[in-house]
Amino acid sequence: MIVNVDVNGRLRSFDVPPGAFLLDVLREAGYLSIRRGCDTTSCGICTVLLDGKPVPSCSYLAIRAEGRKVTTVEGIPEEAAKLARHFGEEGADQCGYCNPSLALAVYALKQTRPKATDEEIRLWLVGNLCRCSGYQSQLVAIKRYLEERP
Amino acid sequence: MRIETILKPASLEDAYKAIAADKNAVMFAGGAWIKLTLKDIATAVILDGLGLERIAVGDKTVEIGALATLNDVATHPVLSGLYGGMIAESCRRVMGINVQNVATLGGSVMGGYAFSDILTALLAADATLRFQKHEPMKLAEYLQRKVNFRDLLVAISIPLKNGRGVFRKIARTRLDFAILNLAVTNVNGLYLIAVGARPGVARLATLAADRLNEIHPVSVFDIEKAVADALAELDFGSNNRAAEDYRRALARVHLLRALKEVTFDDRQR
Amino acid sequence: MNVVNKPLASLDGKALMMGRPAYTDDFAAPQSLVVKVLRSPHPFARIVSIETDEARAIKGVACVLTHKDFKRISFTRAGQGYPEPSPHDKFVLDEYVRYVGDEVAIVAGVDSSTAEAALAAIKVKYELLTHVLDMETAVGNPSVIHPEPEAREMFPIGFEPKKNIAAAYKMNVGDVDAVLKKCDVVVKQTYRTTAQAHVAMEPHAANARFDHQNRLVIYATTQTPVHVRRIISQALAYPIANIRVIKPRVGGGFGGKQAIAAELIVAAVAIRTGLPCRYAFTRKEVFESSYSRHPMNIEMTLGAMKDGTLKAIDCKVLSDTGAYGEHALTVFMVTGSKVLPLYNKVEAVRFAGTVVYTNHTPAGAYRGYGAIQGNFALESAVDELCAALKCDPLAFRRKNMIREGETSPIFAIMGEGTEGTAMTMETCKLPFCVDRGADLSDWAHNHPRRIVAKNRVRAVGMAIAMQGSGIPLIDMASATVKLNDDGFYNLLVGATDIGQKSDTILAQIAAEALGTTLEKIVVTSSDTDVTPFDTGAYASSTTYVSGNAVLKAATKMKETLVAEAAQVLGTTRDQVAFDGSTFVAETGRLTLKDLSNRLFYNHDQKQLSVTESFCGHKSPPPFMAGFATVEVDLETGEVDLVDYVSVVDCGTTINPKLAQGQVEGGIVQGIGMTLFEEPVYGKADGKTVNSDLLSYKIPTRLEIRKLTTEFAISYEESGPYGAKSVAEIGIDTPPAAIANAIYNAVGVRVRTLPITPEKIWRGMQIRAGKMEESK
Ligand SMILES: Cc1cc2nc3c(=O)[nH]c(=O)nc-3n(C[C@H](O)[C@H](O)[C@H](O)COP(=O)(O)OP(=O)(O)OC[C@H]3O[C@@H](n4cnc5c(N)ncnc54)[C@H](O)[C@@H]3O)c2cc1C
Ligand code: FES
Ligand code: FES
Repeated sequence: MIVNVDVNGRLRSFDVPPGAFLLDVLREAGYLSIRRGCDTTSCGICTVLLDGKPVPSCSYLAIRAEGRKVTTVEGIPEEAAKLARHFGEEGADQCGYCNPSLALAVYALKQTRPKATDEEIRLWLVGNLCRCSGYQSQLVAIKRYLEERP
Repeated sequence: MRIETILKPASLEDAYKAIAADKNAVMFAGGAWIKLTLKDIATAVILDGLGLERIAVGDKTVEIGALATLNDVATHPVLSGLYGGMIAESCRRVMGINVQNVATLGGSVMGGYAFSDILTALLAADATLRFQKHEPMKLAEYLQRKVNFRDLLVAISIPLKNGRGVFRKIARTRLDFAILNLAVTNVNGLYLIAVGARPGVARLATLAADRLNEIHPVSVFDIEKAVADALAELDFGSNNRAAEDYRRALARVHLLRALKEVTFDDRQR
Repeated sequence: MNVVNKPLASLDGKALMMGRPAYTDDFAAPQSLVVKVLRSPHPFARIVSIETDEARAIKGVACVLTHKDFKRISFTRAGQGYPEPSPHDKFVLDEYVRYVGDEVAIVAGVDSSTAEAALAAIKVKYELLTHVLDMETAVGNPSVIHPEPEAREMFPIGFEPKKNIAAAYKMNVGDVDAVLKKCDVVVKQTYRTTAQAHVAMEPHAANARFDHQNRLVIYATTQTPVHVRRIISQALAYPIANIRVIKPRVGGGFGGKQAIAAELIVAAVAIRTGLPCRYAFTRKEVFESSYSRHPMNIEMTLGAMKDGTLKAIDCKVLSDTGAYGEHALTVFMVTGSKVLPLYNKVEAVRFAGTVVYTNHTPAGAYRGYGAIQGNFALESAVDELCAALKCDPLAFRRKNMIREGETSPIFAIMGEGTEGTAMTMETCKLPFCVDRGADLSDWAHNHPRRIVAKNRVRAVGMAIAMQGSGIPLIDMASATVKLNDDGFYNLLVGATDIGQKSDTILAQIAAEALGTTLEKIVVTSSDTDVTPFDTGAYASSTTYVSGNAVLKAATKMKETLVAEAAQVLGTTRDQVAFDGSTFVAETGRLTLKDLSNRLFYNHDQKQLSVTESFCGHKSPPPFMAGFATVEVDLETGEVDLVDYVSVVDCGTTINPKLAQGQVEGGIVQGIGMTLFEEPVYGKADGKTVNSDLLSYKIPTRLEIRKLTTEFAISYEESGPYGAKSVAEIGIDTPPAAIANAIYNAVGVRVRTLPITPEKIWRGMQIRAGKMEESK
C-alpha cells in the first residue's frame, strides 16, 4: 500500500505492507534517529511527533499516518541542539539512546505547556524511560531548556 | 504484524457492515492493545476519519466519541473537571502521554480489560454506551454481556451531574498495571462505588451504594459499614501482582478514604 | 587543574541527542540478511530430532543452522581475560537446551518475515528432562545440567558439574566459631536477592559483513571488543587475525553486554553464507536469553560485644548462575571481597559458598556484581545487630568500619577468581560520608521515625559500601596519543564507552596532561583493528586503569614534544617551558602548531605517537554512605522514597557532573532492585511470565522524587589526578538502606527482595498479631 506522509516537512510516499508499523517504515527509509526499546509500547524510545503530538511509532500502523505530519528529531535540529547543551551542562546525558525521543517529547511539552512545573514535566515524560541517568539531572536540564526564551 | 486486508470505511454504516459481514474482522481504534495481542489479522477495519474523535457537551450529558484518545479526555475542559477530574485522572494513569495520545476511550471500553483503570472510573460515572446497531446500554450491563458481543461502539455518554468523585489506582510504579483500582462518586447523597483489577474486571458495589443512598446524612460509621458491605459483595483474587488478602486490605483502606473524601469536607475527615 | 575536575559537556552528547547514526543497528550493511534464533520453550530438554528441510526450502532463506552444523567446542561467553575464571560449558549450539530461551537453531532470511517463516517451519522433537529451578535443591540433584564431557574449568574454581556446582570457594581468618561463642549478641539471618535484569534501553545487537580484504567485520553492542574477537575465533575455529570487532556507541551496558550475545551468531551466519547479516534481540530475548544478576541466598551471622564492638562475621552464600556459568565464581567472590572488608576490625571472618547450575536464564555480570547482594545482607544484618544491641547504627558503624591507613586481611586472600592483593586504604573518607549523609538526610530529626500525617510515618535508614577500581594485576589498559598537523591529537583507547561517558573522561585526562583543551582531543573507542588493547568496560576499571594508561601516554607525549621543541630551539629539554600551546626557551619561542606542521611537512619529518599501558597493583576502593528517607502508609504498607542521599568518596571526580550521573544512575537501578524488579517464573515450567517491559517494571520519573549527591574531598595518589572508580559504587547501598529505613518506619524487617508493599503489610499484620508468620 502507498502511504503519503509529511516527514520533517518533506512529502514522502512509502510503499508498505498493510501491517507495517511507522517505526519500521521510518527506519527503513533512513530516519535512524528513531529506535526500538521494547516493542510493547512501554518505553517511549520510539516516540515520534504525529501532528505535533508524541506517539509510540512501534505500535502505530504506518497507513494511519496518511496525510499527517511526522516529526523525528532530524526535523528539529535547533531545538535538539539547545536541549543537548543543557544536558551537557548538567551531565544528564549518558548512553544517549533515550535522548532523541526525549527531545521530541520535551519539544512537544514546550509547545503545549512552556511553563510546566516539575511535576508536570515528570508526568508528561513518565512514558519515556531512561535506565542510565537516574532522571534527576534530566529534570534540571529540561527545566533550563523550558526556561530558555528565544 | 501481518494484515491481509485493510478496510477504511467511509461511513459508520459501512464500518458496521464490514464487521457484520466478517466475524473475524478486527476494528482498529488506537491499535495499541491489538498490537500487543494479535500477530496475524485477516481483515482490519480502520475507524479513523468517521468523526468518532469528537467530544460533544450537551445539556444533560457529555458524549465522548469512541475514538477520542485518553489524552483528549484528560485535557477536555468539561471532562477534566467532572467529578473532581475522576475520569481524566483514570486516563492520566494509563502509561505516559505517548500511549494516551493513541489509546482511545472506545478501545478501552470494548477491550473490557480486567486491569482497566478507565472502566472503573466510567462505572462510577454511570456511563452509557451508544452503539451503531444495539440500543444504548449501561456500561455495567455491557461488561456482563461482553462475551460474543459484536457492534461498533460510537460514543460513551456520561451524565453531567454536579457531584464529587475520586479515582485511585494502586500500582507498584507509575507505568505498571493496577494491583487494585477504585472510583467512587457522590451526587447529592447518591453514591456509586466501583472497584477494578481485583484482579477481575471492574464492578459496581451496588448493594453497598444502595444502602448508603438511603441514609441522610451519612456518618463515618455508615461509611465503614458501606466499605464492609462492598468487600462482602465483591470478589477478590490472587495473581502475580498481589494476593487476595492484600487486595482486600487495600480495598478496605482506600475505599474508606475515598468515601470520606467524597462525603465530608477537609475538617470533618 | 584546568580540564580535570571540571563539569565539561560530554564529547558525544549533542550529536546523540540530534539523532545521528551511532548505535550498532544503525550500521548494518545495506541488504543485510535478517537473523533470528529459534529458542527453547523448555527449561531442560534434549533435542531428539530437528527437521530443517522445509525451512531451508523457503524462498529467501539463506541459511538454517543447528547443532549439527558446528564443531563441538566448549567455551565461555563471559567476556573475561584469558584463561577465564568461568567454566567452559557452552557450545554455539548444542543438542541439549538448558533454559527457556536457550538457542536451538539460527536462521537468516532476506527480510524479517522470511526469517520468521523459516523459524516457524523448523520441526523439533524434544525429550523433556527433569528441570532444576530451585537453587536450594540443585546440589546433588539427580538431574545434572552439564553431563557433557567437554565442560571444563580453565584452572581450579571448585567446578563439579556432576553435582551441578559451577564454582565453590571458602576462606577464613581466625576461628569464627570460637569468637562467636564469646560474643554477647549474635544475629543470624538469611537474605535473598533476585535475578534483576539490566534493561539497558538498547537491546543487544550485532551485524557482520566481509570487507574489501575479505575480513569479517562485526559491529556489536559490547563492553569487551577484544574478548569478543578472541571468543569468536575460539568458538568458531576461525582465524583471529581475520576478525575485526567495532564497538560503536552502546545504549547502556551495566555488565549485560560484557558477555557475548548476538556477536557469535552473526559471525556464524556471515561465515556460512558470505553475506552481510544483522541480528537485533527482541526485548523478550534480552530478558530471557541474555543475562541477569545472580540471585543469591546469603546467610549472614554477626557477633558483637555489648559495647558495640563487632567481633566476627560469618557469610555463607548460595548463588544461582542459571544454565551456564558466566561469572559464576567472580560475582560470588566479590560478595565477600568487596563487602566484608568494610568491617576490618573483626577478630574472625569466614566466607564460603557454592554457585549452582539451575535451568534459569544464565546470570552474568551486572553493575555492582556480588557487592550489592553482599551489601544487602551485611548492612541489613548490621542494623539488626544494632537493634539487638540497642545501639545507634551510625555510632556502630563509626566504631567498626574501615578507615584511612587501615587494611583488611581479606584483600590479600580474595581476588576475583584468584588470590587477592594486599593493600592499605590510602584514601577512605567514610567518616565524612557518614557524617555528611546524616546531616543531609536530617538524621537527627528523622531517625528512627516521625509521624508526618495520619497513618503516615517518615523514617531514614542507611548503609555504607565499598567497591574496587579494576582487578589488580589482571585488568590491563592501553592508550595511544597521536599528534596531528596543526597540533591536535588523536586519543585511541580500547576502553569501551558504553554510555558511562568514558571517552569524555579519558579525553579530559589527556587534555589536562597535555595542557590543552577538550576540543583538541579526538577520541576513538573501540575498534580492534585500530585501538590498543583494553580488557574492556567492567570491574569499575575504566577511570582508574584506562585513565592511568591515558595519563601515562599523554605525559610521555608531552615529554616527546618538549624534546622535539628543544631541538628546534637549539637548547636542552630542561630549558623549555610548554603550556600546551607554546614552547618558550631563552633561545626563542615556538607554537605547537608550528612544531607539528614542521614535523609533518618541513624538517626532520616524522609521526609522533605514544602508546602506554597500565596494569594496576592494587584496586583502591571507592566508598560511600547512602541514606534513604521513606514514607510508609501504616495501613497499607505502601512506600514512597522521599529522598536518597549519597555521599561518595571516589577520589577526584574527573568530571563532577558525569560522576554524579554515574552515582545517581546506579542509585536508581539499586532502588529498582530493592522495590520493584523481579523476574516472575511460572511455577512449574521455568518460563518467566514478565519478560517484557509491560510487566517487568523499572523505576520511572515519578518514583524518583529527590536524589541528593555529594562527593567527599579525596585524592587517591595511585589514580589519574587522584581518581578512583565511580561507576558501580552507587548501586550497592539502596537495598540495605531502604530495608533499614522501612524497619525504622514500621518495625518490619524484609529480608527477601524486592521489598513490596504487600510484604511490608504482611509484616505489620504479623507484628500486630493479626497473622501467623510465614505464608
Ligand atoms: C502498554 C500499555 C499499557 C496499558 N496500561 C493500562 C493501564 O494501566 N490501565 C488501563 O486502564 N489501560 C491500560 N492500557 C489499555 C489502554 O488504556 C487502552 O485501553 C488500550 O490501548 C485499548 O485502546 P486502543 O484505542 O488502543 O484500542 P485497540 O487496541 O484499537 O482496540 C482494543 C479492542 O477494542 C476493539 N475496539 C476498539 N474500538 C472499538 C469500537 N469503536 N467499537 C467496537 N470495538 C472496538 C478492538 O477491535 C479491539 O478488540 C494499556 C495499553 C498499553 C498499550
Ligand atoms: S519501542 Fe515503542 S514504546 Fe518501546
Ligand atoms: S541515557 Fe541511557 S537510557 Fe537514557
